[in-house]
Amino acid sequence: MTLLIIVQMVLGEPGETIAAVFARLYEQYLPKVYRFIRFRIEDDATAEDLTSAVFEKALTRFHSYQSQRASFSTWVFVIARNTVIDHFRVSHRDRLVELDGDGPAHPAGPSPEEQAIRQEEFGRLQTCLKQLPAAQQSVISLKFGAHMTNREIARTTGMSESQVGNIVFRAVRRLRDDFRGWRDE
Amino acid sequence: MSREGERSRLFSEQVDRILTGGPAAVPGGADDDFRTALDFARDMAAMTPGPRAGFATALGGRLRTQTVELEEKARLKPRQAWWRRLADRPAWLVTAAALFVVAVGALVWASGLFQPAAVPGIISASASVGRTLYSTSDPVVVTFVLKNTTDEPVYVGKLPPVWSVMDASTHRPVYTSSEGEQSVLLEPGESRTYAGTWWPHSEGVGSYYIELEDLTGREGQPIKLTLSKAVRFEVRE
Repeated sequence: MTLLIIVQMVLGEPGETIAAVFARLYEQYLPKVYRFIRFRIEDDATAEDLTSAVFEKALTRFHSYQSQRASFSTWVFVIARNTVIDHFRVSHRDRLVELDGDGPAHPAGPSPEEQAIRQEEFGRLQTCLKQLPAAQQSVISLKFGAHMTNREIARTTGMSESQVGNIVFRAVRRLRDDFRGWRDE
Repeated sequence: MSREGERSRLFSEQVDRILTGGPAAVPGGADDDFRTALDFARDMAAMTPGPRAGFATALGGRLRTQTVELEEKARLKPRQAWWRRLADRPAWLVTAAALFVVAVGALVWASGLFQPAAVPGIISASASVGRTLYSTSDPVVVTFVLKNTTDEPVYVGKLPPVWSVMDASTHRPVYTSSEGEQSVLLEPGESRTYAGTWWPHSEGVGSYYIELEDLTGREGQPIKLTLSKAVRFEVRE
């Protein structure tokens, strides 16, 4: 049985081609994967490269995906987390936040001034996020980037659901305090 | 559940509502700390950028091309027997013959016919890992102890030893460390300890075991290393 048939049986509707199955998953998960990565990565170009790497790995590893062991969401975000970890192990440089030039697609604020402010604010948020322990950074990125529930985060990270909840509450309060300190400067 | 645990649970519930675009409600009796944290969570959700349209389209196009290529390869799976395809291509025949000669030569070489005999047992080797079960994001730290078991000093080159993580199902290495550059004269009974780290996530879940390569003596002769006890572990998601 080829991997293509396996993918179709696991994730597709009857009669759906592999290209259609993957296109549907791509549409559904691209924003979440990108936002999750963008939370941890300071520049757009690297975030895009890593997002591309995640989906290319997902495509080539379909043969190892077992739906009875994990949901597709859990599976693809394990790949995403590992991709980010690999990136940090290889690249030890901190990149400066790029305030000029073609910025990312922010959900609101059409004017250039508002976009610049949001970009600066997000850059500051990332700086505050980097002060948190690695486990908290990971949980916050999965929550606010990938929009995962605590249960999904627990399955992806191996933590308990209550641990995840405690981390979210604690980390957001710390980020609020650090961020507020910057705003008041 | 403790009071703090309950607050954490309620907080996450409200954050999930914010993230799905719904209205968040501050529970009755919630203090200022809770309320301002929820306000900040709302700000964080608004700050987070999404992917550029151009990037999304370009990546989608590349992935579509790759999936179509995969489908095409599966559809055009050749029906002709491999030996017939080989016989129809003289260049492939010559290449296959050359590979056969190289393979036979490699087998003869590996049999040790032309190599100085490995000196067994003069260096004992043991290895250990922290636990037998890891997740794909955990580092696997392997500790090796090498000991001179003889009454004479033993020269050992190229330390630390080269070690491999072997896939238990395929018996092929998924990771091999680099060759060491240290030369050491081990006194009788002296032992040295080394540690190495393997990150399994790029290889994924599975069962693995550790193997060590032989060391090198002063004359270039191999010094056989056999682990006193097999080191096995599993990686799960």
